[in-house]
Amino acid sequence: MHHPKEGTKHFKQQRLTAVVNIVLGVIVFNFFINNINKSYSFVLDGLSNNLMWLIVIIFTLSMSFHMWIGLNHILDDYVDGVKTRSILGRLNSIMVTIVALATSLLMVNIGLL
Amino acid sequence: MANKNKIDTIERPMSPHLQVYKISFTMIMSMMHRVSGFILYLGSFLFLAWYLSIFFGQESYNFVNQLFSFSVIKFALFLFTWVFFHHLFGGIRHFIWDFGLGFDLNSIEWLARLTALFSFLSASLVWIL
Repeated sequence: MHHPKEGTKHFKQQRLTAVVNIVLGVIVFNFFINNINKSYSFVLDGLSNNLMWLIVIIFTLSMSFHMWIGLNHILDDYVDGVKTRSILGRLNSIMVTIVALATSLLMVNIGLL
Repeated sequence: MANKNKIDTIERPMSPHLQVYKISFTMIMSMMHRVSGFILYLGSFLFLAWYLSIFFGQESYNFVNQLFSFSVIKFALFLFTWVFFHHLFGGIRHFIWDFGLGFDLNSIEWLARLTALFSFLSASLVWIL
């Protein structure tokens, strides 16, 4: 990827998304762990009610952006080859987009439909 | 423009040579922040799989639920929760440093210890409560 002039921007974005992740991440993790082995209707109700589905969407978008920047910086630091780094960077973008988009679509479906 | 093209092809220097340092607790904790971040990256697909199973209906949800009932999987999920809180408290540690605080050796050591302690306690609390 190579980000020679984006350090400060990434620094701010990483911290901004981190604040969102701290608050919403605890809620989503707690929801996930506490619903393990619960019935289907119970979990479905939990996601549909109390805007939990919306919290999951906001958390996932923030988390996806956070992990996109994080992994790009790991690639910048440890992958020396320009070509390999570029390919892995693109793969990172694809994976993060899949997680963000798929989760959002699923949650809209579960929450609203 | 010639310069820009040059930058694109330059092989950048590698990160510090890990093998020349004597391993310390704070060093491991620093590495763990990146390692935990990467594990959480992979874990985001676990969440996606869970959401998918809910979306596809009762049968697929029950199948995933059955997998979750194995003790080994439960233990792995506990470790995953620990990794999440490890990254969370590691991030708070970085926030503290961002404000120019906690840079003396004693504070650095204590912040690392507290990160390890609080992450384990938080993960345990989420599973117990």
